[in-house]
Amino acid sequence: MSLSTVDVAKHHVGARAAQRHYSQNLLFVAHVAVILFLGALILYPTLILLDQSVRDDGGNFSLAWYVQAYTSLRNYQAILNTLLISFGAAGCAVVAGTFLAWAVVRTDMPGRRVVELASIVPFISTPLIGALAWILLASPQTGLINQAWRLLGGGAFLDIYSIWGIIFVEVLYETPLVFLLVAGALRSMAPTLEEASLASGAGLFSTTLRVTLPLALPAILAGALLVFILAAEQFAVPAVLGTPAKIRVLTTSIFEAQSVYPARHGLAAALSVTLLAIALGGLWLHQRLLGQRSFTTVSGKSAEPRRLALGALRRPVLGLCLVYLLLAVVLPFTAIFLSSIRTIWTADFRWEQFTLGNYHTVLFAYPGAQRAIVNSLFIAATGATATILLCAFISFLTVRARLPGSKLLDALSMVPMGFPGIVLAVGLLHAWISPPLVLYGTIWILFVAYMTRYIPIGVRAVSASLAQIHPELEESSLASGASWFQTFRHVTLPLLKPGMFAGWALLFVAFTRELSASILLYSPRLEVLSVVVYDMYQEGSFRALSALATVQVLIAIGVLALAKLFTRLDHSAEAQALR
Amino acid sequence: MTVDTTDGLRVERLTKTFAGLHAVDDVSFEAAPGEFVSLLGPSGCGKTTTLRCIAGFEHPDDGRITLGGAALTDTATGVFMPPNRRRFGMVFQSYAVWPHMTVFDNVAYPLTVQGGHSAAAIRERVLAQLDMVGLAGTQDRYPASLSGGQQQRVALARAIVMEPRALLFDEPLSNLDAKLRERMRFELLDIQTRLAVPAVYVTHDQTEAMVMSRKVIVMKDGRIAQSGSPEEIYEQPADRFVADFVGNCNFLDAMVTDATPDACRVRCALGDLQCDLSQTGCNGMSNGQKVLVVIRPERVALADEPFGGGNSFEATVRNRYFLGCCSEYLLDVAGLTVRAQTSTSHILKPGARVHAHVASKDCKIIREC
Repeated sequence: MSLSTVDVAKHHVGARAAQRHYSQNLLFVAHVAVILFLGALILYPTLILLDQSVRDDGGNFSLAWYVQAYTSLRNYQAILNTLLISFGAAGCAVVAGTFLAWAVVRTDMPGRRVVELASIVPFISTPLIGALAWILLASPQTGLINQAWRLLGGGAFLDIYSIWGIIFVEVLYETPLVFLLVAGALRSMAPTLEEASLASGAGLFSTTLRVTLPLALPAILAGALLVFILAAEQFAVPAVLGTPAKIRVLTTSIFEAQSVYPARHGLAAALSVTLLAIALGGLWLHQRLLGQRSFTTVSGKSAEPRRLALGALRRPVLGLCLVYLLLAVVLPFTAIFLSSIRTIWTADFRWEQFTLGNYHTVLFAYPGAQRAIVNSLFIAATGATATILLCAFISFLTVRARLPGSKLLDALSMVPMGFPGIVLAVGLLHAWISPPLVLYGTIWILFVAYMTRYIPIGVRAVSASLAQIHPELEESSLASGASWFQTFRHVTLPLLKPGMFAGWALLFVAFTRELSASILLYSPRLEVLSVVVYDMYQEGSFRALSALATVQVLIAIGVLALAKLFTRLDHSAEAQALR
Repeated sequence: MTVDTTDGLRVERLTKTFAGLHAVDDVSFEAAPGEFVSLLGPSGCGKTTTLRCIAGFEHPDDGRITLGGAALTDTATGVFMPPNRRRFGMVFQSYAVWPHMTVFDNVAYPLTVQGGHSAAAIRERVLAQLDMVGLAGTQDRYPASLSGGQQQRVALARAIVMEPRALLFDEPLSNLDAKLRERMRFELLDIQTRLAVPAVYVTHDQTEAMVMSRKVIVMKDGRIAQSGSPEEIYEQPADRFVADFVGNCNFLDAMVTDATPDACRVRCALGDLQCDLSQTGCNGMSNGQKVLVVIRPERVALADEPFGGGNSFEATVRNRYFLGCCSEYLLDVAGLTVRAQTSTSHILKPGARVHAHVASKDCKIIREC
């Protein structure tokens, strides 16, 4: 078995049931069509990208771009920085996330629910917004913390425009992922495993060290690899925090090579292939790890695990958790919100500085922002709908029908996880810029890019709820004389509806925040939200971008709240979606 | 359907492997119309896979399944009728009642999807069916508001509403509590008798299998270990596995000392025992042959005074367990433990000397290979 539906597929012997009686010709044709479609979405741009990377300007075979990618100091530095940031972020996020998970799930720390809920909040925001918020807080000149420190008589002591600043902001946004994975593993662990250790005479602390954490190790490592991949793929944070300090990473170098005039397509392609190799390598390791153990975070009907009595350490442990929440949630959101309702960014607050003018600007006066809101909502609504339907069908094919080639389909549907947005964008640019199908220059290229990027989210959301539908529910329909199609329509689909709606909401939010592919693919007058926020940053319009970012966050909160209201949207799916 | 069903359901040389492992290995049996057949065995013995092959959820690697002489699955000719065309009523262990449909919709489902029934006819049949399983009045409720037993009745009503050609049960009662389980056994039997169709019932509960079935098929490692009436299985177990799985046993290694066609004398740790072979298929024993003697605990008679004649031995009571209907004694006979069950009110204390007797017809012989 491969990739993420592994836990689902093993779920029940009954899953094998369907094998051949679903194999009516029509279904098989549809199955092949879906595989070909995913192939076109994912493999075709990849091949174009590979091809582009080995051709010189005259179109002849050449490895010159790779030589340049690996030997020129600028690009070589970018690769090193990418690896440094990825390892750094993975290491720090794992420590922070595991600590939070342990504190919330396994100790009697006060305020566990608050810490748990709040640690999900960074997902509501985006790394771009987080990076911008931290500029407002910790840029050497205007950063609020530095300003306040100066007022108290000190000098500037924080510089967010540094490699440490980049790692710091990425860690804030990726810690919740580790938290969710590890918390899930800790929760689903049979309490008897720990009780056996206690019965053997080990204390709670040594049980935690010798039993609890080792058992959670697969989840911890999986979390580390996931963070590694995401950090390598990250465009917004290094673009915003690294560029002023001349810190290059692969994503920003690709963007640069692609957007200078004349564009250096070959170099962009060679760098893209390099980044793709790093990310796919991480993904491969990640999936191998998961293949060994079912790590599903959905479970938890087991008995309440024994909690470690922290005693005098209760408050210090809570204190550490609150520091994370302060840095990841309270400070950035406060900064962005304050910035959006003020005319000027200073540490001395006066009433006349407060205004709603920034909201007026982005909602009514700034045409790009208005268009972006409309465009983003349009793509999100149509794209999420189309994608979730496709994903439901993919899930059904991989989890239930299991026709020949379903492993390939399973693998294909998970590959985009290791496909950096900017790399996908470079591939799509070349793939759909010339006839027969010209998508570049239309909004549909964004549609295709988002759909491709976020197929794994949709498939996971649907597969997770499909796995909870006992195969006997479908088999009893077949035994009642219903065809597979009637079964799908009358039994599977109605039972799947809540899961699909949750998946739709996650996709919707993901679609309204995408930046790293959009930044290369959007065309004038077809802007989307994150692109305009990024443009405003480049113009230095921090007041306007704060207002637009707040709008973006409100849209996300609104849609997710709606989904929560109607379905059992759970945190883990949410987290995976909003990376 | 115009198929002649007088021939019943027949399974021939069924074989199914999963990843090279024989889940079902050369299994053949038949269930006549109105006959209730149980597949009994421990988990992993292949009983459920066999049932799923009959239902059409599994494709066997080899074998043939026919109903009334018409092939449903035949690997030789490539015939395979999908499960939705077999019209077999099936009841699952998990009930598999659809949570998003009302009780009425659940039961009406087979009629709805198969088409050709008017709404009025469907309503009439569904209500009649619900009445039959004792759920009258619940038609507008959702399964979540029903108890486990009620949900299983919904599943049963759904299985019989389409007038199935056979009934298949996959451990349908194992999720119910003991009292309800006992009642449901008779209700299932009652309904099956009324429908007069072949029924195959998978269970790991030997009591259930014996109470309900006319024929019990004991399976082990994908093969049929023994097949026969409940009495035959109990009284004449074919091997140690069957004897042990169906009821409690004392096993004694023994050697034949005096063989005649209808009886034999064996020597074992309890001394010499006379075994009556007239009811068994075991004959043609030869002197010196090693055999296994099987004695059911409830066939060991106990008394304070010596029994006259043979097949008696003296023992020391090691322990006594009260089972309600009877007491189980662990007896010590020359270092060997023998279990005995007796319902006499006279209580023997640990350490007491006691005389035991086993009738020659209750000393079963199994040829150990």
